[in-house]
Amino acid sequence: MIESRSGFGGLSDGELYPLQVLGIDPGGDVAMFKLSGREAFPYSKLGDSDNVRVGDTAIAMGNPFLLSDDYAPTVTSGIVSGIHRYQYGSGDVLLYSDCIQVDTAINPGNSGGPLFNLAGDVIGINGRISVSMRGRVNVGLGYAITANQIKPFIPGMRAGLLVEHGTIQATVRDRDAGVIFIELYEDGPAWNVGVRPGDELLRFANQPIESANHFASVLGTLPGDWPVALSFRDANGEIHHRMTRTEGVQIKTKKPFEPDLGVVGRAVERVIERFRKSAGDTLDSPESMSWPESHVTEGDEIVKYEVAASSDARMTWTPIENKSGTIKVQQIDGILSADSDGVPLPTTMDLAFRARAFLQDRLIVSNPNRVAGVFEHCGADALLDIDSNGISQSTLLECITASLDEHATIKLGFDAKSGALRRIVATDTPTREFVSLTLADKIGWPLGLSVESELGKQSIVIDGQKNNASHESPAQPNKCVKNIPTTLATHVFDHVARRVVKLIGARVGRSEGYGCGVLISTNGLVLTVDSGLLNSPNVRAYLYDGTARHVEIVHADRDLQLALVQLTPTNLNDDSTIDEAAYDCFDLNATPELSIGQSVFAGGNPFKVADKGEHISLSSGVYCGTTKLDATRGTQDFPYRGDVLVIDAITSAPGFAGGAVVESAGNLVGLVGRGVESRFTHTQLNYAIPNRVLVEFLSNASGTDNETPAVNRDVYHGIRFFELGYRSNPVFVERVRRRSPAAKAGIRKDDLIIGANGRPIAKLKALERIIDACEPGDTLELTVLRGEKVKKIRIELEEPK
Amino acid sequence: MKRFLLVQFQCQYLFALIVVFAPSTLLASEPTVKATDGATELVKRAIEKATPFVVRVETVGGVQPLDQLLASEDDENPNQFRDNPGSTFMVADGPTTGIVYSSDGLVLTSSFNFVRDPSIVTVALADGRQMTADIVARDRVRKLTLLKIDATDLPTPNWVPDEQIRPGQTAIAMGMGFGGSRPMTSVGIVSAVNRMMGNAIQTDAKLSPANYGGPLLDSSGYVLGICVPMAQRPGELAGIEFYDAGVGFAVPGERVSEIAEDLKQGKTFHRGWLGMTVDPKVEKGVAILSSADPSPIREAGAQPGDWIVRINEQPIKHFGQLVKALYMVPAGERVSVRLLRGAEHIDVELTLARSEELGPLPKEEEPFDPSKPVTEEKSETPED
Repeated sequence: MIESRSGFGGLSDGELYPLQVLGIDPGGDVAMFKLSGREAFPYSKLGDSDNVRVGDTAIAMGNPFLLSDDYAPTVTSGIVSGIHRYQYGSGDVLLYSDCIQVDTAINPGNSGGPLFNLAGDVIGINGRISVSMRGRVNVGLGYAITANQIKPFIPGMRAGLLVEHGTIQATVRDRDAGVIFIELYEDGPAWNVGVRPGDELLRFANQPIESANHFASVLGTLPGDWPVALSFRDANGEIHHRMTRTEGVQIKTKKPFEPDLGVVGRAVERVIERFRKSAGDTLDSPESMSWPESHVTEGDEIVKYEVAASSDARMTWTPIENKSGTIKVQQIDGILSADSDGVPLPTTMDLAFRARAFLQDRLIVSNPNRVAGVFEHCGADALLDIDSNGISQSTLLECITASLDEHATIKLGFDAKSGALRRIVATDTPTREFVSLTLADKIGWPLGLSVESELGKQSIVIDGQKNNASHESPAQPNKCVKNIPTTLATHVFDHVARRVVKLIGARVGRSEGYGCGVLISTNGLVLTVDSGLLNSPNVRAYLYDGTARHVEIVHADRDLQLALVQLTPTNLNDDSTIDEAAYDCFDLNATPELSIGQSVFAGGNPFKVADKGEHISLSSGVYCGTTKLDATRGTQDFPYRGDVLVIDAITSAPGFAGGAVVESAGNLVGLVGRGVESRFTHTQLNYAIPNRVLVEFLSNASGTDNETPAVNRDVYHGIRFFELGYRSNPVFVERVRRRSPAAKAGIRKDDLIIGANGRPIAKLKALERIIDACEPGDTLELTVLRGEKVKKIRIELEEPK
Repeated sequence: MKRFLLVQFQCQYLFALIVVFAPSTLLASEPTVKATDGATELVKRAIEKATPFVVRVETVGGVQPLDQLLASEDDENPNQFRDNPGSTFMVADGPTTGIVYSSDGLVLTSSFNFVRDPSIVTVALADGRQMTADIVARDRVRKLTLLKIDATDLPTPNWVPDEQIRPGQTAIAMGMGFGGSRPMTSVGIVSAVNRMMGNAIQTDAKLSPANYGGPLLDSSGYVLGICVPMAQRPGELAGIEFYDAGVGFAVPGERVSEIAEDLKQGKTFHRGWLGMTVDPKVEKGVAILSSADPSPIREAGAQPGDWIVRINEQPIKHFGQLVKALYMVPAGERVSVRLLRGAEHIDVELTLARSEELGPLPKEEEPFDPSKPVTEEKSETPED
């Protein structure tokens, strides 16, 4: 579709509508297209994905496996399992920075569909899933590109362009000392502000950076040529705060992406109309607004957009059509219609881009993302930001705010030659407070401007969205602080995350090199599953706060597949003030009664999506019921055969084992068990080992080496089964020994055994496995078919003679 | 019939979601020991209501179905799903699930539970009685099977009328597949209605062999449908690859009652075919590319190049609508088709055939040169 630039989109009204591809963001796996064929389309707002919390309900719509015959979407619901997740792409493309992880069922075909919050806003675009050996189906982890990551790229895409992501030409790694710069390109954005290899990255884009992943997450949200604040600690321990500007990452696409000039032209048209509406009447003087003549002549192959204002402040625009590679110039006078296409301007950066587009020669084609400045939309403090190497932000802020107040009418003076903004003049008394500009109010969107003043050449963004309670602000077009209801999961998450540790080691055998454990005592005892991971060298536990601990095995039980480990300090945490007796922990004895269908939550680290300092994933589900485990792991029998709590949160993904399953108040009900396949269904089982078994294990662990080696004692029942080769199927009784337990119980020759101890028996092997697990004195309950009658017969097993 | 999907889906769809919220049990430093939430209470009540009519089905004997059989009993391209995880699925021998359909001993379950063609079938009722059961009939299209046990006065479920089923509503699946005497429960929402040509509703509750054949309930314990594996491909295991993946299906009540009458008479359903291929490049409308000889569509007089504009009075504007009109219509059912040839409408009636009844496609495809090309650009078949 990207190649042909066209296609069809089906809506839930059952109709197909033609679509035209506008622009693409190959780096972020996003594209924008436009539907036609209807007067007005229903649409969703892009919400503020920064407000998303772990545990929030997340609803996905899409067309998984193309199941929809009538274009009605599939709706699936779940919770946000993690935020600020980073997913590697291939090379420079398909990188998922800062994405939302959900346990909502996302499957192939959901890609491109929306992820909604409970307010009905789109918080992300569903992109990909983690898959296991089962193939391309959901196993509990889906990822959505956040709405806020998409927003800065929308203007460029909407204008029909290939948009670039930003880089600071530096790589960082997680080191014990923190996030350290490893490689820098000379003359790159980081280098130029004084960063050198070995320096520690502290803050980036106004956020404290917790890990290399986190840095990548934040960077991935920034377009090229984007101003960004950077704090780092140099070799001397000195901390520097710097402003720099990202460089665009050139992306090689299979075919060069040629902007569709029709689309680009319409984008310019919209900008001009917006601008004309809001600022056209207040332009300083006709002279200063006379723009250069168009340099485009018929037959030109290079596109150049320019704008001129006539003396009566009406705009004259020179749109350009592209026909078979050449450019035709047309002159249009008068008022141009804005947004007649019915699609609302979707983001706050919309106009910023376009204003720049028209203020700067050739900007749209040559350098689409050169947005002049950053902005914090929605009530943040920083309204202005400026170029690197320039005057301080506060100086400029003062300069501008001094000339404005809330009723100010702003006048703009443009340089007749360059088109750069020369002056900003306000008519009213200046105030110190930077309030909504009249200009920006009218626009409703921030406006990026280039300022040339006695202070030097600067770029600023004026944001009309300042939400100041002391003023009656006009209706906010994109008010984003919404009261999204908290769910049980949002309350539970923090409680669980503080009590689950991430274990990270090396891969040993079939065990993954990562897993989880739950804290059960304030002095650092952790329960986990007994896996090869614990024997890997240098396995570490990472806590909620990101600090690491050594792990020492205290006790392990092969049969229960459980292990108890002790956390001990490492010399990594130079913070010597850690109180080793102050761990948050679960109380194993506060075991609540579970009823079938009750909400439960599972906390763990499936697929190791959470790295060291990042928080675990939370999945939601219900308690399905309790059963005895009868399962295989790989090709082998799984040793634990006791009770398990079956849940419908997917915990069979690698890395979840050792995690916590809690009920809705946050009390532990069980420990996520290792990945197994149920013998009953041949499906991956999602289950937890109940607290009762954990307590038993602990009492064994504290006992003085009372490890009684499990002796498998033979039993005697007295039945000989009919065997026909190795395919003994089904299980007929061939002979019953007189006075044997079976005879006493009433088993007869030719009875067909169809069940034992509550499970169906189709093969002798299955029955033998059940009998093998019995001991003399146990009761074996057989379900037998005698003629048409089903009978239950209980045999008291004896010692073999 | 080749299926080409040209569905490009964009969803801009606002909907009302019913969510039950608990009184916020704020977590202080110490969790409260006992907390219940509204959703849990609803689920609890629903499963209490449903437990009496949920039965455990056990089967003994039979053989493991083979890959080739799975790939299709009736598809031209048996290899197309070779990479599909479902095609290597081994059917286990654990218990399965059914529901009482009538008080005089009819039990409805999924045909998935019988893919091994077991020699012995037993049904264990909620009251503990266990007895042998006879297979009355199977529907290989809707994946349903009707059993008969020798019992009377059995508790029967209430069914939710199809038109009252809404995407977003709570959906609770029950099943005996993991063992034990009580059914286990999985909870989700209704994801869509009117799937699989109106034969199924879709849910994100985790469905698997643990609950195929069991009920999908609404929050008041009424039955929304019977859980079955389904996918847009033939084969009785089709859909197993979606187990626990949040894509599950249930045959809703009205469809069940339509089929049940036939099943009671012992009628087995097979998938039905027109016996033609369509031009994948055509995005608007459906044009016949070629037809098998013999095939219902050929015998009805249709020619390559004809457009199919209506099926059973439903306008066919694109291939998706053709699929919707015919997918899962079993063999033996009559279908009315309106063809467009040049400027002329031709109305024909035909009976869908079983795949075994179709002849081969003609070796040399008759040239088809649509008089009016639909698109000038090179069209493509979107994949996702």
